[in-house]
Amino acid sequence: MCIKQADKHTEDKDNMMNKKNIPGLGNPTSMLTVLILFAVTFLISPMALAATHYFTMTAKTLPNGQLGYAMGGTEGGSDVEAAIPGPALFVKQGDVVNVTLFNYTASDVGFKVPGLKNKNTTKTRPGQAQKYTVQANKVGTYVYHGDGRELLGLFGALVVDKANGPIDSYVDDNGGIIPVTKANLDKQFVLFMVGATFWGTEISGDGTQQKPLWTNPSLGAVENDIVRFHILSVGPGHTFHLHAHRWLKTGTNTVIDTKLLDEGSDTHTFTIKAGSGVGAGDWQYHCHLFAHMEAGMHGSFRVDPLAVMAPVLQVHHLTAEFYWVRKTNPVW
Amino acid sequence: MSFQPSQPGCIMGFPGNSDTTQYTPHNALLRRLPIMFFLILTLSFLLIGKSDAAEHIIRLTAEETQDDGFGNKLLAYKMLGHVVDGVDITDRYSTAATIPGPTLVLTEGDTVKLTILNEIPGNASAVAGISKQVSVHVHGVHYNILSDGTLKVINKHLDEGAGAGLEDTFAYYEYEWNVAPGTAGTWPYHDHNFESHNGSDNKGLFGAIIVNPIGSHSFAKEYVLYLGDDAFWGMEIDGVTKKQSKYGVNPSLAAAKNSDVRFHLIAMGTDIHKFVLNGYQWFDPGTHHLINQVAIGPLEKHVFTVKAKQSTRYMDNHLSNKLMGMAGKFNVH
Repeated sequence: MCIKQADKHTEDKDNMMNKKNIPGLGNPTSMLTVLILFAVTFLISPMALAATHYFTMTAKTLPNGQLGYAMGGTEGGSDVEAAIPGPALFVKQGDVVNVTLFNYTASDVGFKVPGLKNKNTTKTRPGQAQKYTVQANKVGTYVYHGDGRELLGLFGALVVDKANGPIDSYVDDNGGIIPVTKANLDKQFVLFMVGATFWGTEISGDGTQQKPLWTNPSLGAVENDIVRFHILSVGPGHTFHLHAHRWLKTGTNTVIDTKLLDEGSDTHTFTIKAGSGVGAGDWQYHCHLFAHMEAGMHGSFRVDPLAVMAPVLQVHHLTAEFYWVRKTNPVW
Repeated sequence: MSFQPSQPGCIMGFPGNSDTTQYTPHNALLRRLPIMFFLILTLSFLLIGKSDAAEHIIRLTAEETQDDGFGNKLLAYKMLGHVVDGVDITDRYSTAATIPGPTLVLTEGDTVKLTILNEIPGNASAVAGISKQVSVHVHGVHYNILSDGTLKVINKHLDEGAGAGLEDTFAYYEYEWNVAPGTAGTWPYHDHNFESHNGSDNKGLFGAIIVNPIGSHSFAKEYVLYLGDDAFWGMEIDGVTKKQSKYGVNPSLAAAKNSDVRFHLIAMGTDIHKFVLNGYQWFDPGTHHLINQVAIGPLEKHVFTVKAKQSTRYMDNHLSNKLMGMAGKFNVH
């Protein structure tokens, strides 16, 4: 599916004001004014770049009785296809997120984003539509949900990235911490942990192409792909573990490979280089709560080898080759 | 990678045939050999810059231990041998199988060859649909897919453990870990193959590795505390002798007054825990925030240091665990 959204950048009025003052540069007072205006422009520029997003979404009943969101919608019915999780919404810090929600389920449905401000807490009646506005003023990944119906499938991800600069970092195979911009991303995954099930979406690096993967999906990547994971939960808590990969505890340089998603609603976003230091393989991801493991809450992150194999006699490869050699018998 | 699966069902079979790798040295290659040798030598000094990078040869076994009080046998890892660059350090460990299993202390840059054996009765006879294997699945460090310590149903290669798996049977299995730069931290290792592809870390087959950065200073005492669903399973390491002791349930930990000690918490089971060390604060790892309680979920780790000032108790404030008396002493003297 392709997300339609409209961005309206506010005009940079301050720039024009600056220009007016240029002829008076010789005057110290004018100089000071210019400096102040420059400082003000600099300070508010992130705000000046802020966008207003208009999303239209439809809440529908799926054939199995669960509820899901679809991107798009019209009055008097909707033929758009709903999925679980709902479409991932990508915005930047300072943006305004407007969501027009069409409710074609049999129950009242709201639009709630725990952790962000939303004045409208009124639920939308079946067959009705309503507008919700959220201020994306804090960087992070947020759950949006149907305010009461989330455990039936009405949940999705709202990702708020920094307006400028790198959005994340990954741990390279030599331990280096490498910043990544959105342009560096090869792909993204949203994985919702709900009950004893993962619900997934595969998303292009830029966020525009999204494909529902449904439950406990097999995820695919090629070695060295830069992959961003958005792990979210609603309901009781979980821990997310991905075999043989490491990443950063949010906002720190502490390396982790398992992350708690506490009960209620919680999120954790991280970026990895697929197969970094470990190579290709079917690497399991799973909830590490024993009861959930027993309930089958797992899937595979399949990392395919690069099509072109590095020559064996490359010097840096020799040490790796030496390292991975297996002995027929142990030494004792 | 010179690696071939052995035939399923061959009890003494062991994967690997690197000895049969055919090198056909011809003159051109031979002439280049000294140059390559010199290059590699130079690179190993330049790149690694850590002549202290050690090679660990470790041999573990798994066996049945005590009854859990409900008629079920618990399982435990036992250290059979640990040799570091030719030096035998096995006497640091308990001679008995312990819960948690032996704590493996490593340094960034090290390599590990770890062999798992299986002394759980009946492990050699295959039973359809039930794995009798035990494995070692480690977190944090680098390893390739053949050292994942999982069943073939997950890794698509082999049942990577000792004993009769769902498809492959091995008398022992060797894992290779690259304790690469960037893997510093405390990580769990645990079984992933016993009975099902989930393994049996809930039965006692779990332990910890501590990966120290190069040049990190040591602590007077190190404590590993696994947070189970009704008890702590812990142990203590002496900073000077490196000896490991006090394995078991809710151990009474000891520290000298004003000494620096380090706690390594790893959660397991199903509960989400709220760990406290009454009267103490510590830095949330990677931050400058002082905290006095931490929420920790299964297989997460949380490592912190404190200066031992006064005796107190460590405990889990998760309600049901608190009611079950999940707490232990921290004695400062």
